[in-house]
Amino acid sequence: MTFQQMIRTLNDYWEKQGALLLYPYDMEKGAGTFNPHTFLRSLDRRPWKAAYVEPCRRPKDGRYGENPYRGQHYFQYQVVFKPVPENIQDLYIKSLACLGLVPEEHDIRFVMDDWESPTVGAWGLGWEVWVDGMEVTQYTYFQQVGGLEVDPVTVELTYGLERLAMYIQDVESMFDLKWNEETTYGEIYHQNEVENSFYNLQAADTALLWDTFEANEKECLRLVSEELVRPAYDFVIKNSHLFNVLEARGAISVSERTNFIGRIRKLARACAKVYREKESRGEDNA
Amino acid sequence: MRDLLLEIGVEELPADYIPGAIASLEAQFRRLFEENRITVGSSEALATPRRLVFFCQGVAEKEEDRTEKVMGPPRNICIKEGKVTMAYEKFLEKNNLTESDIFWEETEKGAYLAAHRFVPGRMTRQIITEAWPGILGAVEFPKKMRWDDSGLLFARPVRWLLAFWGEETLPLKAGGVTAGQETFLLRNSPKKRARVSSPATYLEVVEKSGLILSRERRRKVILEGLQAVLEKNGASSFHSESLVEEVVDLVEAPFVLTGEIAKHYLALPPEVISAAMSQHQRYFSFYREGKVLPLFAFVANGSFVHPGKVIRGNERVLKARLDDAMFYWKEDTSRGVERLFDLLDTVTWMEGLGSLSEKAARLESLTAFLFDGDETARTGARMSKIDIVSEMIKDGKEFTKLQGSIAKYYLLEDGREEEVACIAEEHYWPRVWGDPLPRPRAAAVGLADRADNIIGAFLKGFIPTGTKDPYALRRQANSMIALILGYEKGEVHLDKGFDLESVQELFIKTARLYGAEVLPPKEEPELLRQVNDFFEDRFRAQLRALGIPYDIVDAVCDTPEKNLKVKYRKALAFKALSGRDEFRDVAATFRRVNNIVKKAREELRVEDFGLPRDDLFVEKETKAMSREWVNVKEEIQRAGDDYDRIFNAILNFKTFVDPFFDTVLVMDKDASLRNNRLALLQDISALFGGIVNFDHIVVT
Repeated sequence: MTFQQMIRTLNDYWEKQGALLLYPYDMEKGAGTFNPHTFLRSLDRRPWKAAYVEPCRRPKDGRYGENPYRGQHYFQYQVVFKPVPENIQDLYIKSLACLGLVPEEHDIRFVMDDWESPTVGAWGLGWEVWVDGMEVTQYTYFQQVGGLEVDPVTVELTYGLERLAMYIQDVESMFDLKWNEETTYGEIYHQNEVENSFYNLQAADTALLWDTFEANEKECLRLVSEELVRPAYDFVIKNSHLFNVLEARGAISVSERTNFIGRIRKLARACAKVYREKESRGEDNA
Repeated sequence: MRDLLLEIGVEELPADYIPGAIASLEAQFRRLFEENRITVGSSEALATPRRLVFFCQGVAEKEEDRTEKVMGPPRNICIKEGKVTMAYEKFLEKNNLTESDIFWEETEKGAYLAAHRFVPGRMTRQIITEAWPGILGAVEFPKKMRWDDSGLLFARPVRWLLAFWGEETLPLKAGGVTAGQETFLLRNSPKKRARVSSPATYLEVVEKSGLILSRERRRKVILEGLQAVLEKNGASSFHSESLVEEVVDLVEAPFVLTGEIAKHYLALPPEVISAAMSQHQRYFSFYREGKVLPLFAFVANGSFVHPGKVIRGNERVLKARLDDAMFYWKEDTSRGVERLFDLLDTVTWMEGLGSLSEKAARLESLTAFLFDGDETARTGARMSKIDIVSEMIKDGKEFTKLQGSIAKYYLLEDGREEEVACIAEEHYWPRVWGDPLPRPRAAAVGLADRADNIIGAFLKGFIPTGTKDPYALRRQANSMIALILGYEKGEVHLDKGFDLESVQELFIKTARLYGAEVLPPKEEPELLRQVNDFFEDRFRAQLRALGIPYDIVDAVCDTPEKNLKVKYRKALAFKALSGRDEFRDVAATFRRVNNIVKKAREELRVEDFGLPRDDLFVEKETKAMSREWVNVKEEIQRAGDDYDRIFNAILNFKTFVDPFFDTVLVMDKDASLRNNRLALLQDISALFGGIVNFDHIVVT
């Protein structure tokens, strides 16, 4: 099964379960959770079922394209359901079966892994899902997002697509994955890994990034005060990514780290609060 | 009589939640039965990651019937002018009684209307049904969650419920789930669900499906599986026992499988290989003569007819982890130890308190003080932190726990002296009382390191309070005490401890190494006072933990003595002496001496009454006491640390002090007589106070 077939298979499967098939958000981000389809939509009371691929960036994980398992850019497949169907675990296991990972032949396990993102003031309880000892999915019941209790609870399933594909295609390096029958993952993304690793770890202009961080923060707070939640939230995403680059670049000391995370969290909380308020006033119906 | 069976089916519980959860579930049911006088046979609390089960045999249909005495109004209210009153009739009516049920109960306040009322036992079915929501809500978990709109908080979502009262299903709920007749079996078995109709059919179906409800039985299966691997491969041990405990609660049906690793990974230190296997993957490694074997065992959930895919998958994951480790190892060793040492300069130790290389320099200087300038110890101290900046340890990976051991391997690989390498590993020992103790040089570095951690944290204001101790300074202090007192098999063994005259002096030296910019001299006394108070608290807590009564602890600690070993010896001696009949009397007498001196100092505003003069003693009792005092002083000097002998001297001296107190009034009108008596008492108080502070001894 090629990489693109895998995505199609998951799309087909979750479409049958009633999910909207959506698209990635057009900004750099560390995880599919940052996409407003998850972050903002988990804050309101309306039902929500969505599935989408999300390209993610973790600047610190850049290895110049030399590590077969790790990259600063990779893909997640994200599924969010609210309220949570009673048989969600079963639905998830069946999605693996569609990819050929049937429970009769593979040891599928749910190993406790409570999730927390201090940057956006969110936490949830759940698992990392193992297939034959390999972590392939993060499975989380959100409890708080943007510092607010969520009700109803949203469940988030985050598949690590490269990992899954490497296992399914039985290849030793993510760059050897078949995107389709002719083209490999490496042919599309290897040079991207090399150049962005240089950027993240060596070339990024930290002074410029600091200035941008400060400017973004101001803009975000201004927009929050005008209750323009979605544009304000974009600046939360931007600053979270800038922070990740600055950290990869070694420009943030251990003690500063907590401080910066706190600053981003403050923005995320402010957005969440306004989103919730507008929704309760009936002014935000997406 | 019926059997009761409850099964709460959940999405996988965290392994370490399970033992506490089933214990609290069972305890609640036992309490319910006891409080309601419901007789029961044996009960069992069982669990797998997907279910909590409570099974109780022979539960009575209803609680026992009983009669209960009910009291009514007093006789004069019930009968007026020879006739029964409204109050009387209301009592009968309310309690559904007839004339023949009632009697007069004589009490201290006179006769009262009373009756024995028959209370039929309620049905057990009803009692359980009513108690259930409370029981479910009170199952103990470290953390609970919400998942639907039912409002139930539980460790993980509840997905099914069985509640068999014999063959009947009780109308119980758990969140959005109502008790039914379907249970879930292993996910990899052909039959994933099964209908059951009673406790017996449930147990039979479960047993047949291969899933094992009993934790003990799962542990046995795992241990037998590991033993078989051990024997088959000629191994002598496996790593680790504590992992077995965790894995027991990670699977419903343990199935031990083995995989292989390529031989070239064996170039890695065995600790690294074991950590790669156990830390994240929960695999078992095997050892023969201290060498790790190129294989691992893991415990799959449920049996597989063709486990080949499962094994290959697990081998792949482990290979990736070992590749990572191999990469770190090569990166680090190719750079060499000096390069790592240089990197210490680039890493902040604590914000505002300089880099790790500055810390290493402080450790070297303190170790030189603690270990007579010994070159090996100093080098060990200087190199003790090099692995913190290594690829293997930094950024919190699965190998981070090996900090210290990794430094040892890198130093050995670099051709350094073995003792130097071992210092890097052992200076973190012991983490808790009872762990192996380091060799003396490493102990010196360990004391220096912890003293520096404590001073550094206090400088930054991270002073432990209540439950807050972010830098685990209490543990650091406890380790210092363990290093100094020494132990063998958990019992104090002073010969095994490190000789340090004064921890306070070590703290002073440490604080001064930060320089006046970080610690201005005028702030030094306050900082040291805080540190010493903190350390003193830990030491007293440790003595109490070692079984020394708290008043003896305070009495021996509230003296000028600084040496912890001496304090411990004294504490032990006075604990024994406190068992003697005369001990509390002796304490009372010399407490009185202390009090008189203290009070006189305050009232007369005199700091020091000077030396006593023989010619100013008049009474024979005073003269006798003063003459004897010279002997006592000599005797105590000769006794050294023979506290029995010292105590006997004090006890003997009491026979001179008592008559003095009986006959002489210390606070004489004549100032010179008075002050001379006080001078003598002051001398006594000071000398004894240097040994033990009787003020703290509980006298009554």
